[in-house]
Amino acid sequence: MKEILIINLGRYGDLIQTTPLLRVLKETYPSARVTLVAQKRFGAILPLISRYDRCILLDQDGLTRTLATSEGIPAAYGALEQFLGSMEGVRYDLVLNLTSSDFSAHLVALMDAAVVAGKTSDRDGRTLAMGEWGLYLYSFLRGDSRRYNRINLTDIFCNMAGLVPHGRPVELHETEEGRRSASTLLNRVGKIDLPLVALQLGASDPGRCWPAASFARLSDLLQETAGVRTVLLGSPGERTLADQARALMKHDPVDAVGSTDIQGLFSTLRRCTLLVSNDTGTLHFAAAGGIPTVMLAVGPASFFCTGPSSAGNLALRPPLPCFPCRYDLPCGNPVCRDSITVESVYNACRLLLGTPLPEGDGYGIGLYRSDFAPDGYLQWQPLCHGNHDGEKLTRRYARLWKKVLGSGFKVQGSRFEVRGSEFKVQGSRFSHGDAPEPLFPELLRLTTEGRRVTQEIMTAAKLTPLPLSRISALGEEEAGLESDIRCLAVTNPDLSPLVDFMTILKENIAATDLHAIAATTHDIYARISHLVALL
Amino acid sequence: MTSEIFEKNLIALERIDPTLAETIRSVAPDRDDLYLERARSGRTVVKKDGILLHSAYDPQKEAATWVASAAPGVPRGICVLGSALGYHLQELADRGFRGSFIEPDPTLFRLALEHQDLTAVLAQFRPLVGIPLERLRRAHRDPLAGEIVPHPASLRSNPSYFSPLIDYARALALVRRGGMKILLINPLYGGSLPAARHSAAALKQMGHTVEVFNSEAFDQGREFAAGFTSPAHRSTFTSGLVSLLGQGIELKAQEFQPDLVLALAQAPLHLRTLGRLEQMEIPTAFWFVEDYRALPYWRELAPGYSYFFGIQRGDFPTQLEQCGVKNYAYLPTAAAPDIHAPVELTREERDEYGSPLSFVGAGYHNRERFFRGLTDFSLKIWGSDWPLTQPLAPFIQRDAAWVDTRSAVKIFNASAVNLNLHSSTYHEGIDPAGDFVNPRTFEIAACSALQLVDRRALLPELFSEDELETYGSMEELREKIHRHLADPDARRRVAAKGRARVLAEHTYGARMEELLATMICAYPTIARRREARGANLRTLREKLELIPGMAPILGKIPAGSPLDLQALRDAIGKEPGTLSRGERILLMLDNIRTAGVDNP
Repeated sequence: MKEILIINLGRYGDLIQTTPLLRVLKETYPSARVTLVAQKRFGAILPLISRYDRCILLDQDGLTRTLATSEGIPAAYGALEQFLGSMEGVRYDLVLNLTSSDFSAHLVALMDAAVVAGKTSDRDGRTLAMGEWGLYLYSFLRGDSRRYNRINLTDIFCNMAGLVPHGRPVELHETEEGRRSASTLLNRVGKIDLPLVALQLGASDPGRCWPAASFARLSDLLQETAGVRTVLLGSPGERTLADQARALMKHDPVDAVGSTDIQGLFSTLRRCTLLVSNDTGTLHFAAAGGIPTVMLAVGPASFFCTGPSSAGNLALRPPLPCFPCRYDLPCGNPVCRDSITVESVYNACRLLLGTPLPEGDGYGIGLYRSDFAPDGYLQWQPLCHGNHDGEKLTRRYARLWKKVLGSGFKVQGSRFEVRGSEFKVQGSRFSHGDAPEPLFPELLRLTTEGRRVTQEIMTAAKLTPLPLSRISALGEEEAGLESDIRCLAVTNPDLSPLVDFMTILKENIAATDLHAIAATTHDIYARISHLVALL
Repeated sequence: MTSEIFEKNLIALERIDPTLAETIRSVAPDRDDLYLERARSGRTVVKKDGILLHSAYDPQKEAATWVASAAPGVPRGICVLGSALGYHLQELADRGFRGSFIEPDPTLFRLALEHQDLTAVLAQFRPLVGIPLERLRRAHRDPLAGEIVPHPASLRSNPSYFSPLIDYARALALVRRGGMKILLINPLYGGSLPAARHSAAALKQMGHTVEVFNSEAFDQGREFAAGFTSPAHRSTFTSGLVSLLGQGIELKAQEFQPDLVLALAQAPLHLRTLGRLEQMEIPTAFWFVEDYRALPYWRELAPGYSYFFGIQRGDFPTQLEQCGVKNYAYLPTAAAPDIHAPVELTREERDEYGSPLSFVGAGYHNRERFFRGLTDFSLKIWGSDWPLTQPLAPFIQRDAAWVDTRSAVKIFNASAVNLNLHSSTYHEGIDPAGDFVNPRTFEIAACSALQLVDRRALLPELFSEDELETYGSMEELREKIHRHLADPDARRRVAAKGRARVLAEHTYGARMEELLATMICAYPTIARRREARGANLRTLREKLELIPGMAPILGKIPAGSPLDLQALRDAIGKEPGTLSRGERILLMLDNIRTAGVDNP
């Protein structure tokens, strides 16, 4: 492994969540050159990140501005050519695309890569997910599946690279400039003897924000009773939100909104005792600085998927069956914003400050704590009001995926050999005759039917002349089965992870001739049957 | 000598335009403002209102000099503005030019015919004499859109006629070049929706980029509103819906950056949205293809539009002016000749749709009363809202189901005589004061089908008497039905002429040309934007052509068509497995434009 390309065109938090991957890559392939591709807008974090050899920045904002009128097309084309030119001319042993956009898929397709994990694009411009874990990642981003995911994004990233999660947190390195910036900021408000509790009021999406009024009450409660001083954090764009909160506060916090640069933010957080935050990049800064956090999982935010990757953090989830929101269904009634009470957040803060949780029901709000499991994966354990029945199923799913997905692009000793986006069942015929009663018998029946129908298509596809009407009838039967399977997941969302995984496998079929398509589809049904049996 | 030349000229004129020849013969040869005198060369020249239209020394030499400097280098088809006594026309004809000439003053043209031998001119130039500006714009679009060569002295003598004509001709030429960006707002519901769709299709066919705001997709909201018991609640909900759509239109305008917005009657635009569009310096046109007496909501909205186009004259322009409307133009409806056309019908279709006498349209009160007088004919009545009661029930087809356009075209084609009666909710039959002409008049004619239509005040200027049949009473209607049922040849002759008239003047393409050219005359910013984009387009194309791999993509985009990322993306090859590097980069740029690079 000599050349590794990592594409992460996400925000600060996404880049921080890439750091465990960078660490494990460098530890495994110390002589490999790791190239990181990021957005210029978030390049300010790069001095804090180590373990990469070069970084190439995409000026998306510049390109967007250039493309504001058609006259800018040649200039934008030239700029993009230049950007591509800085990456091309290298044979990459591994390209990891950690971004889900079509743009990044095209970018990967233009690279000379031996192995790709994540999204790419074929010669028709069709987007494909590559690698077992890449397929999994994009299957759970859709529909209801995300509710069942218990594998943190940082661990998925490692697996996409074919490496085992190592049970260590995200990491950033404090800079001298950051320390100076934090000192300047805190010196401005005078000497503070009390522990600092940071409050991050905003988020990239208003749907992920706990109300400013709730933050105001929390700040007052903490300052009145917990013997701490609160610090408001946020970008200049969150000034209005901070002003709204401050107007409702009885006790002044340290107002650092819009006053910290990225390096200064990290250093300021390191001087805090804990952070209370919506689903933001700031959470990941704190996790990287070893600062415990209280994450407010509002809207589509799921701490299971993208919570801060370090041990000892707390997360609160709303007592609502719709948690977390689906990405594809905008919520018209975001009651979850108000369903997490100030008292429950306060109690979580007190717990991190060393005071046990009070007696009582905790307002019915689920409270979870993060730690690293013995297998090296991040996990969130319920402290109170966990959904125990639901958790049993999600844990079974987590065990299943860890067992069957293997490690990215090469799976030793697995039933499934992964070749790019395709796989095939090896060895003996699949049989579940001796297996215990499966959890989802109807799904098993339908996938078994799917195997029969696709087997018949494969047989028919070898005949000369082709029995077109027969093949057409079988094709319709197969489409009907697929439709039945999807309907099954609608009536029983517990099936969503399996059905969404099947869907993405089918969308990813690269074959073009009838027999090969039927054979791949047959393997997909066989695989889903196998997963049902294993679950 | 004078009378000899005049007669010779008139014979030549009669051959090409007998109506004009008749007019010229009847025009009085003398008028106080026209004064003939001799040039030094001995030739006759004319003064109009004290302005000499030719050289006082040698008009022939002047004409030769003028032609050498003002006319195109190579003889070709042109449209000359102003005939004067015709010296310049003679010179042009001698040099091989052809085309047409426009002269508003028949008396002046008569003088020319009296004093010059214009037979060669009449053989090469079509005279467009004494035609009002509006008629000229509607009926003679082709010469106007061609190369205009104004005769300077004629221009000076009649600026009120020629100046707007020159502006209009320039605008029309620009319209015909295509490349304008038009945001077309469909109506939320109602009968104007087909007109909106035909207009959009015509504009696209003319090479313009049309973004259609499909308001009708939200019509279910209007139906939903009907579920509220309280009228106030219904009104609040509907007004909220219109407000939401108005915001949508505004956002679409921001994204699309049109040269102008065109809204059809019942489009969900309110004054606030119109005001915002005005702030964005986007002129707005409203084509109100409805009866202003039946739908009075126009009063509220009309002042917000930059230009109001309607299908009525009479009192309407005055009422609009009183509401604060500054720009109004009469623009009748039309037919879509690719849809409303003669069609070959199968025997089954003829049996189903055909009848000696038919009517297509909704069952308005006046129709229901009037057609009772036709029950002794073999009559088929098609359309919705007809009461299935005696005496018309046996004639009503398909239990008064709504008839789609394709079926209507088949009915027009299959019927010997098509009835057309403009609707009224309170007359017992024909509305004696009816003015506007309904779309069906144009549509039946476009199908080359014979129609009998009730007389309307605005009909004669759209069709001549031999292009369709009109009636003013039941007796007259019955007489004409009998006559035409007995004479298939006469039916065919009239119908063919009617179709020819529609194709020449009354298509949606023609209406859109007129609307756009009128808008450009009133709002020169439209032309400037279009021209600037054209210039940028050429530069952009040249720059893109320098990029390796772009030539095949650019080759699929016609020169002059809008060139943006969407057009480039659409031109990318669809053949499997052939995406080139350049094409992929264009797709990436398009991703950045539309979604960004970090979307989930």
